[in-house]
Amino acid sequence: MNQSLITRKTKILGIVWLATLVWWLIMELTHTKLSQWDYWYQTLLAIIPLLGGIFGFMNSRKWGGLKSRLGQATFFIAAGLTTWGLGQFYWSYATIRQLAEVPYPSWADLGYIVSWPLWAAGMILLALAAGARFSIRRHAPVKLYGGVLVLSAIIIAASYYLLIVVARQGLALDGESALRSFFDLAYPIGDVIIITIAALTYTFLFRYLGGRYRLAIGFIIGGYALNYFADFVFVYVTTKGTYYNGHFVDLMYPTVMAVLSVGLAALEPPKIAAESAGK
Amino acid sequence: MVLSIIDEQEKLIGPIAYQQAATVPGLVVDKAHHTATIEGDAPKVITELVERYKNFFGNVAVDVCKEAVGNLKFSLPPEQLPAVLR
Repeated sequence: MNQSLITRKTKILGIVWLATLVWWLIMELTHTKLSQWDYWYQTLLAIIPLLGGIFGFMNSRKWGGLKSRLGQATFFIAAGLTTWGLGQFYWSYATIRQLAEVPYPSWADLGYIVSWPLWAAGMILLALAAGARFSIRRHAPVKLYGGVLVLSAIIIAASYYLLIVVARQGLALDGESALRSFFDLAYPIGDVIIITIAALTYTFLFRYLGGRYRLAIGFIIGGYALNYFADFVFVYVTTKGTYYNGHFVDLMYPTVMAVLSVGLAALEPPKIAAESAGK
Repeated sequence: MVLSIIDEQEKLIGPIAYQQAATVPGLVVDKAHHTATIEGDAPKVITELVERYKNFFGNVAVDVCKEAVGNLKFSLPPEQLPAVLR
Protein backbone atom coordinates (compact mmCIF):
# COMPACT_ATOMS: atom_id res chain seq x y z
CA MET A 1 0.00 0.00 0.00
CA ASN A 2 1.36 3.40 -0.94
CA GLN A 3 1.34 6.29 1.48
CA SER A 4 -0.85 9.02 0.06
CA LEU A 5 0.99 12.17 -0.94
CA ILE A 6 -2.03 14.18 0.16
CA THR A 7 -1.46 15.03 3.80
CA ARG A 8 -1.99 18.21 5.81
CA LYS A 9 1.66 19.12 5.36
CA THR A 10 1.71 18.54 1.61
CA LYS A 11 -1.54 20.50 1.23
CA ILE A 12 0.13 23.50 2.89
CA LEU A 13 3.10 23.15 0.53
CA GLY A 14 0.74 22.88 -2.43
CA ILE A 15 -1.10 26.06 -1.44
CA VAL A 16 2.17 28.02 -1.09
CA TRP A 17 3.38 26.69 -4.46
CA LEU A 18 0.08 27.73 -6.09
CA ALA A 19 0.42 31.21 -4.56
CA THR A 20 3.94 31.38 -6.00
CA LEU A 21 2.67 30.33 -9.42
CA VAL A 22 -0.12 32.94 -9.38
CA TRP A 23 2.32 35.68 -8.27
CA TRP A 24 4.77 34.72 -11.03
CA LEU A 25 2.00 34.68 -13.67
CA ILE A 26 0.82 38.14 -12.58
CA MET A 27 4.41 39.43 -12.87
CA GLU A 28 4.75 37.91 -16.32
CA LEU A 29 1.42 39.22 -17.59
CA THR A 30 1.87 42.73 -16.19
CA HIS A 31 5.56 43.03 -17.18
CA THR A 32 6.73 44.18 -13.75
CA LYS A 33 10.40 43.55 -14.53
CA LEU A 34 12.77 45.15 -11.98
CA SER A 35 9.97 46.32 -9.68
CA GLN A 36 9.59 45.74 -5.94
CA TRP A 37 7.04 43.03 -6.77
CA ASP A 38 9.84 40.96 -8.33
CA TYR A 39 12.09 41.45 -5.31
CA TRP A 40 9.40 40.52 -2.80
CA TYR A 41 8.56 37.48 -4.94
CA GLN A 42 12.05 36.21 -4.09
CA THR A 43 11.04 36.07 -0.42
CA LEU A 44 8.21 33.73 -1.33
CA LEU A 45 10.75 31.36 -2.92
CA ALA A 46 12.36 30.86 0.48
CA ILE A 47 9.12 29.83 2.17
CA ILE A 48 8.64 26.46 0.41
CA PRO A 49 12.09 25.00 1.29
CA LEU A 50 11.90 26.40 4.82
CA LEU A 51 8.46 24.81 5.29
CA GLY A 52 9.80 21.59 3.77
CA GLY A 53 12.72 21.75 6.20
CA ILE A 54 10.41 22.22 9.20
CA PHE A 55 8.17 19.33 8.09
CA GLY A 56 11.26 17.19 7.50
CA PHE A 57 12.63 17.90 10.99
CA MET A 58 9.20 17.04 12.45
CA ASN A 59 9.18 13.73 10.57
CA SER A 60 12.80 13.03 11.53
CA ARG A 61 11.88 13.39 15.19
CA LYS A 62 9.00 10.93 14.77
CA TRP A 63 11.41 8.44 13.15
CA GLY A 64 13.67 8.62 16.20
CA GLY A 65 15.89 11.51 15.05
CA LEU A 66 19.55 10.68 14.57
CA LYS A 67 19.12 7.31 16.31
CA SER A 68 17.49 5.64 13.30
CA ARG A 69 18.56 5.43 9.67
CA LEU A 70 15.34 6.97 8.37
CA GLY A 71 15.48 9.68 11.05
CA GLN A 72 19.02 10.56 9.93
CA ALA A 73 18.03 10.62 6.24
CA THR A 74 15.05 12.92 6.78
CA PHE A 75 17.13 15.14 9.11
CA PHE A 76 19.88 15.73 6.54
CA ILE A 77 17.50 16.35 3.64
CA ALA A 78 15.53 18.78 5.85
CA ALA A 79 18.77 20.54 6.86
CA GLY A 80 19.66 20.93 3.16
CA LEU A 81 16.25 22.46 2.41
CA THR A 82 16.67 24.83 5.36
CA THR A 83 20.12 26.10 4.32
CA TRP A 84 18.84 26.55 0.75
CA GLY A 85 15.87 28.53 2.10
CA LEU A 86 18.17 30.71 4.24
CA GLY A 87 20.35 31.39 1.20
CA GLN A 88 17.23 32.42 -0.69
CA PHE A 89 16.22 34.74 2.17
CA TYR A 90 19.59 36.49 1.87
CA TRP A 91 19.08 36.80 -1.90
CA SER A 92 15.70 38.44 -1.39
CA TYR A 93 17.13 40.75 1.33
CA ALA A 94 19.97 41.77 -0.99
CA THR A 95 17.59 42.57 -3.86
CA ILE A 96 14.99 44.39 -1.74
CA ARG A 97 17.73 46.53 -0.11
CA GLN A 98 19.19 47.04 -3.58
CA LEU A 99 22.62 45.72 -2.51
CA ALA A 100 22.78 44.19 -5.97
CA GLU A 101 20.34 43.63 -8.81
CA VAL A 102 21.56 40.05 -9.15
CA PRO A 103 23.47 39.08 -5.98
CA TYR A 104 25.50 36.29 -7.61
CA PRO A 105 27.93 35.33 -6.27
CA SER A 106 27.00 36.41 -2.74
CA TRP A 107 26.36 35.09 0.78
CA ALA A 108 23.22 33.52 -0.64
CA ASP A 109 25.44 31.03 -2.48
CA LEU A 110 26.86 29.85 0.82
CA GLY A 111 23.37 28.72 1.85
CA TYR A 112 22.74 27.07 -1.52
CA ILE A 113 26.09 25.29 -1.66
CA VAL A 114 26.01 23.99 1.92
CA SER A 115 22.74 22.26 1.05
CA TRP A 116 24.57 19.84 -1.30
CA PRO A 117 26.67 17.84 1.16
CA LEU A 118 23.62 17.72 3.42
CA TRP A 119 21.40 16.46 0.59
CA ALA A 120 24.05 13.99 -0.55
CA ALA A 121 24.35 12.59 3.00
CA GLY A 122 20.55 12.43 3.29
CA MET A 123 20.22 10.65 -0.05
CA ILE A 124 22.88 8.05 0.82
CA LEU A 125 21.21 7.40 4.18
CA LEU A 126 17.81 7.16 2.50
CA ALA A 127 19.20 4.64 0.01
CA LEU A 128 20.60 2.58 2.87
CA ALA A 129 17.33 2.82 4.79
CA ALA A 130 15.38 1.75 1.73
CA GLY A 131 17.49 -1.35 1.24
CA ALA A 132 20.31 -0.45 -1.15
CA ARG A 133 22.77 -2.91 0.40
CA PHE A 134 20.31 -5.80 0.14
CA SER A 135 19.43 -4.85 -3.40
CA ILE A 136 23.11 -4.67 -4.45
CA ARG A 137 23.65 -8.11 -2.98
CA ARG A 138 20.60 -9.52 -4.71
CA HIS A 139 20.58 -7.90 -8.15
CA ALA A 140 23.97 -6.20 -8.67
CA PRO A 141 23.20 -4.77 -12.13
CA VAL A 142 26.83 -3.74 -12.63
CA LYS A 143 26.26 -2.58 -16.22
CA LEU A 144 23.49 -0.30 -15.04
CA TYR A 145 25.69 1.32 -12.35
CA GLY A 146 28.45 1.76 -14.92
CA GLY A 147 25.92 3.37 -17.25
CA VAL A 148 24.84 5.84 -14.57
CA LEU A 149 28.46 6.82 -13.87
CA VAL A 150 29.26 7.27 -17.59
CA LEU A 151 26.11 9.37 -18.01
CA SER A 152 27.20 11.55 -15.05
CA ALA A 153 30.62 12.10 -16.64
CA ILE A 154 28.92 13.11 -19.90
CA ILE A 155 26.63 15.56 -18.05
CA ILE A 156 29.65 17.13 -16.28
CA ALA A 157 31.52 17.47 -19.58
CA ALA A 158 28.46 18.94 -21.34
CA SER A 159 27.88 21.37 -18.44
CA TYR A 160 31.50 22.51 -18.57
CA TYR A 161 31.34 23.02 -22.32
CA LEU A 162 28.05 24.95 -22.32
CA LEU A 163 28.60 27.01 -19.14
CA ILE A 164 32.30 27.74 -19.35
CA VAL A 165 33.43 27.39 -22.97
CA VAL A 166 30.27 28.63 -24.74
CA ALA A 167 28.72 31.03 -22.21
CA ARG A 168 31.91 32.47 -20.66
CA GLN A 169 34.51 31.87 -23.33
CA GLY A 170 36.75 30.18 -20.77
CA LEU A 171 37.58 30.38 -17.06
CA ALA A 172 38.29 33.74 -15.42
CA LEU A 173 40.73 33.56 -12.54
CA ASP A 174 40.83 37.12 -11.22
CA GLY A 175 39.09 38.34 -8.04
CA GLU A 176 35.32 38.29 -8.17
CA SER A 177 35.30 36.59 -11.55
CA ALA A 178 37.22 33.67 -10.07
CA LEU A 179 34.57 33.34 -7.35
CA ARG A 180 31.90 33.44 -9.99
CA SER A 181 33.71 30.89 -12.13
CA PHE A 182 33.92 28.67 -9.07
CA PHE A 183 30.15 28.81 -8.53
CA ASP A 184 29.46 28.49 -12.27
CA LEU A 185 31.28 25.17 -12.17
CA ALA A 186 30.38 24.13 -8.64
CA TYR A 187 26.60 24.31 -9.17
CA PRO A 188 26.31 21.92 -12.11
CA ILE A 189 29.03 19.60 -10.75
CA GLY A 190 27.40 19.50 -7.31
CA ASP A 191 24.05 18.86 -8.95
CA VAL A 192 25.51 16.05 -11.03
CA ILE A 193 26.96 14.42 -7.89
CA ILE A 194 23.53 14.52 -6.26
CA ILE A 195 21.79 13.30 -9.42
CA THR A 196 24.31 10.46 -9.63
CA ILE A 197 23.59 9.46 -6.04
CA ALA A 198 19.84 9.78 -6.71
CA ALA A 199 20.08 7.78 -9.96
CA LEU A 200 22.17 5.09 -8.27
CA THR A 201 19.62 5.00 -5.45
CA TYR A 202 16.85 4.53 -7.98
CA THR A 203 18.94 1.90 -9.77
CA PHE A 204 19.62 0.04 -6.54
CA LEU A 205 15.99 0.11 -5.60
CA PHE A 206 13.98 0.08 -8.81
CA ARG A 207 13.00 -3.57 -8.46
CA TYR A 208 13.28 -3.65 -4.75
CA LEU A 209 11.59 -0.60 -3.35
CA GLY A 210 8.17 -1.37 -2.02
CA GLY A 211 5.98 -0.45 0.85
CA ARG A 212 4.09 2.68 1.59
CA TYR A 213 6.88 5.21 0.97
CA ARG A 214 7.73 4.31 -2.61
CA LEU A 215 6.02 7.40 -4.02
CA ALA A 216 7.53 9.78 -1.44
CA ILE A 217 11.06 8.52 -2.16
CA GLY A 218 10.34 8.81 -5.89
CA PHE A 219 9.44 12.48 -5.39
CA ILE A 220 12.70 13.15 -3.54
CA ILE A 221 14.78 11.51 -6.29
CA GLY A 222 12.79 13.39 -8.96
CA GLY A 223 13.29 16.67 -7.08
CA TYR A 224 17.08 16.30 -7.25
CA ALA A 225 16.92 15.58 -10.98
CA LEU A 226 14.81 18.70 -11.57
CA ASN A 227 17.22 20.75 -9.45
CA TYR A 228 20.00 20.07 -11.94
CA PHE A 229 17.98 21.66 -14.76
CA ALA A 230 17.04 24.67 -12.63
CA ASP A 231 20.67 25.29 -11.59
CA PHE A 232 21.87 24.80 -15.15
CA VAL A 233 19.38 27.34 -16.53
CA PHE A 234 20.20 29.78 -13.70
CA VAL A 235 23.96 29.65 -14.25
CA TYR A 236 23.47 29.91 -18.01
CA VAL A 237 21.16 32.94 -17.97
CA THR A 238 23.19 34.82 -15.32
CA THR A 239 26.37 34.18 -17.32
CA LYS A 240 24.67 35.41 -20.49
CA GLY A 241 23.36 38.43 -18.57
CA THR A 242 19.73 37.69 -19.40
CA TYR A 243 18.62 36.89 -15.86
CA TYR A 244 16.28 39.22 -13.97
CA ASN A 245 14.38 38.71 -10.71
CA GLY A 246 11.17 36.95 -11.73
CA HIS A 247 12.77 35.09 -14.67
CA PHE A 248 11.26 31.71 -15.61
CA VAL A 249 14.00 29.99 -13.60
CA ASP A 250 12.49 31.67 -10.52
CA LEU A 251 9.41 29.56 -11.14
CA MET A 252 11.53 26.44 -11.64
CA TYR A 253 13.17 26.73 -8.20
CA PRO A 254 9.99 26.82 -6.10
CA THR A 255 8.68 23.92 -8.19
CA VAL A 256 11.86 21.92 -7.50
CA MET A 257 11.72 22.78 -3.80
CA ALA A 258 8.00 21.91 -3.68
CA VAL A 259 8.63 18.46 -5.23
CA LEU A 260 11.46 17.77 -2.77
CA SER A 261 9.49 19.12 0.18
CA VAL A 262 6.35 17.14 -0.69
CA GLY A 263 8.43 13.94 -0.88
CA LEU A 264 10.03 14.68 2.48
CA ALA A 265 6.77 15.75 4.13
CA ALA A 266 5.08 12.55 2.90
CA LEU A 267 7.76 10.44 4.60
CA GLU A 268 5.65 10.61 7.70
CA PRO A 269 5.13 7.67 10.06
CA PRO A 270 1.58 6.35 10.25
CA LYS A 271 -0.49 7.16 13.29
CA ILE A 272 -0.78 4.07 15.49
CA ALA A 273 -3.69 3.80 17.91
CA ALA A 274 -2.44 4.85 21.36
CA GLU A 275 -4.10 2.02 23.21
CA SER A 276 -2.46 -0.66 21.09
CA ALA A 277 0.89 1.11 20.96
CA GLY A 278 1.12 1.71 24.65
CA LYS A 279 1.68 -1.90 25.66
CA MET B 1 14.13 -13.87 18.08
CA VAL B 2 11.22 -11.42 18.17
CA LEU B 3 13.29 -8.89 20.11
CA SER B 4 16.16 -9.19 17.62
CA ILE B 5 13.74 -8.41 14.79
CA ILE B 6 12.22 -5.44 16.59
CA ASP B 7 15.62 -4.05 17.63
CA GLU B 8 16.96 -4.23 14.06
CA GLN B 9 13.84 -2.53 12.76
CA GLU B 10 14.25 0.15 15.41
CA LYS B 11 17.68 0.98 13.96
CA LEU B 12 15.96 1.50 10.61
CA ILE B 13 12.67 3.21 11.48
CA GLY B 14 13.07 4.28 15.12
CA PRO B 15 10.41 4.03 17.84
CA ILE B 16 7.73 3.11 15.28
CA ALA B 17 9.26 -0.39 15.29
CA TYR B 18 8.06 -0.99 18.85
CA GLN B 19 4.75 0.76 18.24
CA GLN B 20 4.07 -1.48 15.23
CA ALA B 21 5.05 -4.60 17.16
CA ALA B 22 2.64 -3.66 19.93
CA THR B 23 -0.27 -3.81 17.47
CA VAL B 24 0.40 -7.42 16.43
CA PRO B 25 -2.27 -9.73 17.93
CA GLY B 26 -0.72 -12.31 20.25
CA LEU B 27 2.47 -10.31 20.84
CA VAL B 28 3.05 -8.46 24.13
CA VAL B 29 6.00 -6.10 23.97
CA ASP B 30 7.50 -4.24 26.92
CA LYS B 31 10.11 -1.81 25.68
CA ALA B 32 11.02 -0.58 29.17
CA HIS B 33 12.03 -4.08 30.30
CA HIS B 34 13.12 -5.16 26.81
CA THR B 35 10.90 -8.21 26.76
CA ALA B 36 8.51 -9.75 24.26
CA THR B 37 6.03 -12.54 24.91
CA ILE B 38 4.13 -14.52 22.30
CA GLU B 39 0.67 -15.75 23.22
CA GLY B 40 -0.53 -18.46 20.86
CA ASP B 41 0.81 -19.62 17.50
CA ALA B 42 4.43 -18.31 17.40
CA PRO B 43 5.13 -18.68 13.65
CA LYS B 44 1.83 -16.94 12.86
CA VAL B 45 2.60 -14.06 15.24
CA ILE B 46 6.13 -13.62 13.85
CA THR B 47 4.82 -13.72 10.27
CA GLU B 48 2.31 -11.00 11.15
CA LEU B 49 5.11 -8.92 12.71
CA VAL B 50 7.27 -9.22 9.57
CA GLU B 51 4.25 -8.29 7.42
CA ARG B 52 3.73 -5.12 9.46
CA TYR B 53 7.31 -4.07 8.76
CA LYS B 54 7.02 -5.06 5.12
CA ASN B 55 4.23 -2.53 4.82
CA PHE B 56 6.82 0.22 5.39
CA PHE B 57 9.66 -0.61 3.02
CA GLY B 58 8.61 -3.74 1.22
CA ASN B 59 11.23 -6.43 0.74
CA VAL B 60 13.96 -4.56 2.59
CA ALA B 61 12.01 -4.97 5.82
CA VAL B 62 11.86 -8.72 5.26
CA ASP B 63 15.62 -8.87 4.59
CA VAL B 64 16.32 -6.85 7.74
CA CYS B 65 14.20 -9.34 9.71
CA LYS B 66 16.06 -12.29 8.17
CA GLU B 67 19.39 -10.68 8.99
CA ALA B 68 18.25 -9.94 12.53
CA VAL B 69 17.31 -13.55 13.10
CA GLY B 70 20.70 -14.67 11.75
CA ASN B 71 21.96 -17.86 13.32
CA LEU B 72 19.06 -18.01 15.76
CA LYS B 73 16.93 -19.71 13.12
CA PHE B 74 19.17 -22.79 13.13
CA SER B 75 18.34 -23.39 16.80
CA LEU B 76 14.63 -23.76 16.00
CA PRO B 77 12.82 -26.84 14.69
CA PRO B 78 11.89 -26.16 11.02
CA GLU B 79 8.14 -26.14 11.74
CA GLN B 80 8.65 -23.36 14.30
CA LEU B 81 10.45 -21.09 11.81
CA PRO B 82 7.99 -18.94 9.84
CA ALA B 83 8.22 -19.41 6.06
CA VAL B 84 8.80 -15.67 5.59
CA LEU B 85 12.15 -15.93 7.44
CA ARG B 86 13.49 -19.04 5.64
